[in-house]
Amino acid sequence: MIWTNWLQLYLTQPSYSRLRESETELLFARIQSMDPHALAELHDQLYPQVYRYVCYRVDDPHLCEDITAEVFVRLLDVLHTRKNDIQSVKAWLFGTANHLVIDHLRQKYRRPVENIDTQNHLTDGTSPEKVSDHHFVQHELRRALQKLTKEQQHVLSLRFSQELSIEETAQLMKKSVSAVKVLQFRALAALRKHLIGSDPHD
Amino acid sequence: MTNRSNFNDIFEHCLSALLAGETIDQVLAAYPEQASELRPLLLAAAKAGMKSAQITVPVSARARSRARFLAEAERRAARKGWFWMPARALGTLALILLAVFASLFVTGLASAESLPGQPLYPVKRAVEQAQLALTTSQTGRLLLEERFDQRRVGEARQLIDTRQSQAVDFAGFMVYDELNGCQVADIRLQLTAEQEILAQTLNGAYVEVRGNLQPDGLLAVDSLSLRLFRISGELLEMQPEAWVVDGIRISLASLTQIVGQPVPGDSVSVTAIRLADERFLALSARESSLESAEPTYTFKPLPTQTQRPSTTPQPVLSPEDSPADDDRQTKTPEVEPTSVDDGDGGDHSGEDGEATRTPEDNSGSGKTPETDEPSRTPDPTDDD
Repeated sequence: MIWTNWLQLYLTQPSYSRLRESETELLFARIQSMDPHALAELHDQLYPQVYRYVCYRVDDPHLCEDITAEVFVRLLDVLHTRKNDIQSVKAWLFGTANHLVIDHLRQKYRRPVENIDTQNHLTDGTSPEKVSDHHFVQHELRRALQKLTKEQQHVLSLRFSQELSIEETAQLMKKSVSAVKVLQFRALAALRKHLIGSDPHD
Repeated sequence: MTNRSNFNDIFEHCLSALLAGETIDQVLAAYPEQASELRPLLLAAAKAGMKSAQITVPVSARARSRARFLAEAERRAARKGWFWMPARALGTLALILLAVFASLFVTGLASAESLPGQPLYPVKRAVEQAQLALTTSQTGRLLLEERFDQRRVGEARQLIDTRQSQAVDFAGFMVYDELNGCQVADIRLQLTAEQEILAQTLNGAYVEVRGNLQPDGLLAVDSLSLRLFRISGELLEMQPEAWVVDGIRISLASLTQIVGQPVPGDSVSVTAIRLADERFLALSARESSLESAEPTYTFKPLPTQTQRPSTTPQPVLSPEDSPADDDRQTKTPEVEPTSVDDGDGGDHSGEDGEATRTPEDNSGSGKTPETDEPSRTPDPTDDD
């Protein structure tokens, strides 16, 4: 059939990726009108990414779930103001997740009896000696991450939890590529310092 | 001595290679001079990256979040209405809206006869878009689109009659023969050699074309592609050769991509082309409630696409790897089964048969250089 060629053309021509942009525009039009199917589609599409981002920084899986759910509820406040593209929404979601995680960590360590430098137990009270090495390493990594600046935590979380390229990270953070390169370098240097307690090479 | 900027570039290249799966030793083999400085940082990066590989997304958590999200959306939608606004504000708003609609109406009327290149032409197109947006019936939308397609052709012919040069776009059936060359809606096209090959492939197809009209009546083509129609609605009938969506009959081909397993009553979204006998042929179709899934063909990069260093190339579909002709149902993308962790320590992988997507950006996997830079959005809470 002649239209087999047309169908193959549709599948192979890069220009038809424009259709995905058009479909996204259509989706956002439905989202802004609070179409429940469109909202569900948006949520399901982006939930795993936000969850991974939060879980990368926070120990407690229940807290990960709560923070992630809160991010999406807050999205309802600003959906009508969002530019109609998925990248803008993703940037907002990750930015909000970053703020909520930081807020949680500030509250957690504001309690005078707790000092992050003397935390020798995991959040459930289990001593590290009773947990597998694997979980202990993860816990130590999270502790080290929490000692970085907010932006440093954000850039490492985006690059490692989302496996984004430098360009994608820069777009989400609304920074130049060169600025992100500098930021991630400093972040990893600081992370290393906190992981092993020694000064980085310079 | 490597300056800092250059070092950051080298570090980024190493980091990308590490994230792509190379070992630290493999990465540092390319930079022996900087190895001593890079190694400790890459070790930290490897540890940071290792962590992300173990994160799985509980199906139940996503379901609870979705339920809460939709419930809150419904609550807000129910709360919002005209009744919660003070009467004075309502009156002011009504006057403003009246003034806006009146001016739009007058401008819209004045723009109706405008042609491409004239000041009110963008208004004319905006009014058409508004009409489409306000038309909920699929049949109505298709009729409107057909009417607008005919308008575009009429506008182009008017410009040809007046021998004007102008950028235009319109749609119509492609007719190619060796005597008259290529024509769309009886307007002759001026094509490059590459475009001519494409045009021959599209002979008989309903296409959209953009280009510049010349004084001699030829259209110098900028782009030529299949005219695609998006048809969304309730799947009323489902037969092997055709579906009926919101009253519109859409034929299916052996290569039609179907995502999900819709049944009559489901809400579906179909991308289709128009055939000469007034039929629609589905190119792809999916359940509207599903995530935007990429078709599961074998991927290989186009040589013209920019490749990130040592990262997964942008996926492009290869027609040689399309599924068997009688296999219309595409498999869902291969992803890791979700491990449900509800604190009971059990592993309920694959619960509900629902798989979790990898962190790839599915909406942008066809990311193109044309994707717009998002506008700056204010931080939702306090900054640093």
